[in-house]
Amino acid sequence: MLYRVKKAPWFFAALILPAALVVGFLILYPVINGIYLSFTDASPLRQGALKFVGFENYTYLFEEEVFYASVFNTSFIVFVSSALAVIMGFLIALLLHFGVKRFAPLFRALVFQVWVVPWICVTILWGWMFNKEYGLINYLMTATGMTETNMDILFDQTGAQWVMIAGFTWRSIPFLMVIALAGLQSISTEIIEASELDGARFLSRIGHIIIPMIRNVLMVALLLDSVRFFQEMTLPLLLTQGGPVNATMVLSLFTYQLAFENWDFALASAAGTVWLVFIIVVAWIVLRFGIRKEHVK
Amino acid sequence: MAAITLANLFKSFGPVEVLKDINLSIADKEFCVLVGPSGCGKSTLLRMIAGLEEVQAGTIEIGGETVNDMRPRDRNLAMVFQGYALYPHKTVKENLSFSLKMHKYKKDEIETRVQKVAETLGLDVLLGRRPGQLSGGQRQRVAMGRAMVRDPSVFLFDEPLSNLDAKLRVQMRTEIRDLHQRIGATSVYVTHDQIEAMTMADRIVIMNNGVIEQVGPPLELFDNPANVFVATFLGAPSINLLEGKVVSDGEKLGVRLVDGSFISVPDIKSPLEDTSVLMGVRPHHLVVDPENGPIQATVKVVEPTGVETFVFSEFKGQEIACQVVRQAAPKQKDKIRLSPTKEGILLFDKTSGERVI
Repeated sequence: MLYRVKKAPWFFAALILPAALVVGFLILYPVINGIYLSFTDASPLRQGALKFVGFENYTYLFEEEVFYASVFNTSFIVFVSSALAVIMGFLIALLLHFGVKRFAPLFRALVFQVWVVPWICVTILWGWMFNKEYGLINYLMTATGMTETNMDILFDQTGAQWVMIAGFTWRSIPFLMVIALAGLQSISTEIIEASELDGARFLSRIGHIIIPMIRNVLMVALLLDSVRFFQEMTLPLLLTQGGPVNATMVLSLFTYQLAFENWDFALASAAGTVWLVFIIVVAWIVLRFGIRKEHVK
Repeated sequence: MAAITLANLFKSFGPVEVLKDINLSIADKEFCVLVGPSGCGKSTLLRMIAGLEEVQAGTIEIGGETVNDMRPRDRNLAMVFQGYALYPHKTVKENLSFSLKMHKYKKDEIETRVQKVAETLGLDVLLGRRPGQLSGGQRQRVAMGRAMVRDPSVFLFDEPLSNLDAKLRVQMRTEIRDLHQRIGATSVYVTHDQIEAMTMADRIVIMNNGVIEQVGPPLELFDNPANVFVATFLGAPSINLLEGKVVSDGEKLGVRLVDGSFISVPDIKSPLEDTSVLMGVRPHHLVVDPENGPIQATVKVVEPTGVETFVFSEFKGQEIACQVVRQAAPKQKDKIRLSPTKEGILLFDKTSGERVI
């Protein structure tokens, strides 16, 4: 060791300064400022200095019904979409890894195209899919006799939520697939062969060997994805504006509306802070109970 | 009963022929070692017996039953892999019991079997650990245990000792051999290490380029190799091969070496006269003979290994190794005269490499 922190503290400080500045200004400052604003009456419509209002914003928030609806909707939509995305991404990865080996690279590239589709396109696409007059879903449902007439799915509370879930899931499958595929490829063929000789059939091999071995990878991917879903608001904003009757009002959209439609920065900051705590709790739960440390060397 | 019969086996990966017309019978309870340089097809052959590699032509019979299209799980065999292939998320106990579980054994039966195997291999105190917390030797034992627990009729080993250090390797060698004697299941063992092959095998199968060069008990292959490949593959230091020509010195036939010296070979027959040959002499069959030794060489390196001392010397641009007792060891740059013992001379045809005497 040529340099030691104790001997040359300024040298080391200089080395981490650029990173510290970037993190400080772009991440830490906005977070702290947001938390600070949530205790004030900040609004661009108000003149004069900021007034400290204590927990007033929070009290208001916790008495607001739409807020509870949005917490519930967000949890439901995020949880179901993430779970579906993990399951389907894993299934496609299995198919690519053990099934259609020959076209795997091509197929993987094709599936991954979905990942680069902008959210606005996802919105338009799924909006049309579920459209009452011309939508494919309605066409299929009436053609197969599942329904008699076209349904306005987007104007149905449960229906609208499932449209969100469909869009979220669809957009995230490629990401989960790539992660799951990488996980599958990291399992040595010897282990798969050993399980074959041990007598495990395909399903028990997946259940006893493959899933436990890539479970941590999948859990981290699930977490990354849910955090992304928590933030995503293009779909509800453009497709349903949170409706019908707040069925698709999610935290991100709720906060956005508070800030840029009601111009109540302080209340929006309070919502954002609650939202931050919420994500931290979810992440902690996933990491604490989802990740197994025992076989990590 | 689990004799293994391989008949006319072929295998190719794309344009590369890995196995060409393999015929081999392995007797019940035999310990058979497949040995050869890397890429000779020995592992592929083992994997075909295991059912992990498809048979393209020919048949594999285990215990009199053709198993070509049988899945690995139905062949009643167990395999120890080079990298052990333990399940990292399972404890030693779960690793050992997995195959029993998959074959739907009863719970108490699983318990007794695992316990018995763990005791045999000295794993009883490690049952609760995971592979990541074990040393190389312990992992190796778990891999062995996992193979033993189901009482398979055939054991397959794919270079199981190559990841261990030298000392452990020697120890495990004896242990595997010992286990085989106790359990008595037919075993097929793949290695590239000729010492492992020599020390462990009932019979060695020497492979090269996808064909079987020779099959036989270790010492027989060592003493009577069928060709140059087998002769050089077995034995360390490797056999000395000296170029020469079969000629007559007027009375008897012998070999004239490149430097003009003549070595008489008693068993040689006249049709061989004038053929170019390689004279093979193992280091322990070359003795220092200061008066009459026909091979005159200059000592380059003297390697004492404790019991025996190897002397590497130069003879007409070729390295030649011999074994001496350490009291008689020459020094570097000494001129020595060597003479092959009569029973130690093997002659190989220079072009075909086949043994002629």
